Amino acid sequence: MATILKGTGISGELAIGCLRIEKQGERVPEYRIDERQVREHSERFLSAKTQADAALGKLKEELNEDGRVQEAEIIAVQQEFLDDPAILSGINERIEKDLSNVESAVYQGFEETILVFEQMEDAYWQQRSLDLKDLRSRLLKLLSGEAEEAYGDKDVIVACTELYPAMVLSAKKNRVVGFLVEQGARTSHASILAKAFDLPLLIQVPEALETFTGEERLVLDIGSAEVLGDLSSEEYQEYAQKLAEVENEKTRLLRYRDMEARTKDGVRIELAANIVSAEEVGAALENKADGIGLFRTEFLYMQSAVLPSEEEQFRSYRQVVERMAPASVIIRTLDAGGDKQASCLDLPKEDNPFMGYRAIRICLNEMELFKTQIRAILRASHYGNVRLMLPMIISREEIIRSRELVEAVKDELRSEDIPFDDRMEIGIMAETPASVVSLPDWLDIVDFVSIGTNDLTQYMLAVDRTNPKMQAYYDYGNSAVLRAIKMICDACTAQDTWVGVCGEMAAEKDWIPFLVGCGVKELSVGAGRINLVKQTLEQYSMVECEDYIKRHLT
Amino acid sequence: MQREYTIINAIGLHARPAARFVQHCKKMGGKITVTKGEKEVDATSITGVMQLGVHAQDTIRVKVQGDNEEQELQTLDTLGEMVDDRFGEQE
Repeated sequence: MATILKGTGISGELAIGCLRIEKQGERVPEYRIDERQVREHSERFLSAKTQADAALGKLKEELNEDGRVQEAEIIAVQQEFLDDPAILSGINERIEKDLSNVESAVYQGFEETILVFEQMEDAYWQQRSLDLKDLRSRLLKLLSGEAEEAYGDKDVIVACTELYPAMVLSAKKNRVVGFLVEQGARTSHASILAKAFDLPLLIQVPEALETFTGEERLVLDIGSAEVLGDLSSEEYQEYAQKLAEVENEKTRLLRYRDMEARTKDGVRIELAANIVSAEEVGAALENKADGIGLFRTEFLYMQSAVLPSEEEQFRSYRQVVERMAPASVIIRTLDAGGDKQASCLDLPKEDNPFMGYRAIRICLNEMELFKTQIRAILRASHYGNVRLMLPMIISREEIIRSRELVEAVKDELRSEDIPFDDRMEIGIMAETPASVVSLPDWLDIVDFVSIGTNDLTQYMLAVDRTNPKMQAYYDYGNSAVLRAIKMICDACTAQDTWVGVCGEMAAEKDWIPFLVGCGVKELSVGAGRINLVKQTLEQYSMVECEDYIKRHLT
Repeated sequence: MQREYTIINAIGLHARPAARFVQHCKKMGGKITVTKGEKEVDATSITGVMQLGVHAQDTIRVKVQGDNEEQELQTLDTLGEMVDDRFGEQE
């Protein structure tokens, strides 16, 4: 019987390899030394430091040679940490004055600084504590004398409690084909790097290290967010074949990288990327996205115990906007609630959260919170091409109240001499049945529309998309969903309003011709799927897309 | 000798620019400190500089005590160029 654990898939598609457990967070030996041993312990530290520096230097060089300049810089920063006089003197003092053994001196010497970073005001700086932990664990491993085990010539899947950036960066060299992580977070640096390298990564699998203990062969299936062990040889064979197909497909898709997204008859479709954090812009640029079609801002709120300040939000938005300019960045205002809980919002538990207090409903009820976000977005609009998007709209009233708030904030900024883009567009997500029916009555006060197919499908069909039992019911091909999309697009075309799609349906090759035939101007997908969408677009002319609609709606 | 600089990098003196800042100070030698608000740190300590939490448009003050005036001036001038260049980061 196969052993299967569920997690959250972050990047990549499929990996097969032998399990290797990366031990972390073990207790370091702690004892007092006598003065005659001080020299020995100081020298051991120095030697570990030299070895770590050399290993990092080598890794940096390899990344640079691969043209991974940005990733190499992460390693350069760790080298700088390793040479930090504050940390070094902390460690030396512990050995020389407190007579601590070198292992605990290193552990404690870093701990102080790690704690300071963990307590810093915003998420960016807090993340740096993981870089320090990464470096510390490298040093402790060198000190324990267990030389970095050779990974050998087998493909390896590494299982660990917490994934550190350097582990991702050195994956290729060590023949690591995937990661299985007990904790982990969608927005951690390590996750973002894994996406940039397209490395299979499954996080939030709490029982991973208890369940898989030997050197067994595992399969990481990111599509179904599962790790599978104890498979029969036939089952392995099946996965191995699937993996070969995935690899072939990747090679085939590479040729689309430098091509524009066009239909067979040359109609240009904007192909944008969905991102959840500023750090993901790199992947969008690398895959030559035409813009950001959906910047989900709720993750700024979800990763923090306190509400993100205007400054923190502004910095994050501005970074994305500047790097994408002159391409447009659609920033969606807070879409928390539903399945996305944020502890800093302190939302009460609800019986029916998807129908409850979420998204624009929270924002229009807690105007200060909304105002802070709108100020940050408007300020960022000065640095490029920002379009603001409101989620979960069900009435004209909500659009009017949001626009009034934007105008009030603009007046405020003007009086403070803070620059912003006065012509910033304001659009809405079409994802509720209300928006399908009433859109024609709203479009005079809406600059653009983006169809959120995930929620639209769930609400049109009254099917909870998070319920595994409902998966067969959750079907884009249901004619009610297709007709709803057609109605939205027809309304937009009739009133000459720009319409895009930012839900997962935009990356489904069976439905791309349908969406294009409906007249959408833009498809926004995960950065890793851009080439796939280009390939699909190339197979259909506009006439064929329109035929495709007729076939599905009659 | 001391001078004030306004940091214009979009997300402030984060890891990469802080590393370049510190490398420069180490290379120039002498005793160099950075102050933001009340807090003063060793300019050759990257964790110190990062813990100042310098954001875009923040002003920092750099104090240098070197062997001679020419060297101090050189340290501050070059630093000024680096700040204007966003420490080599793109806009």
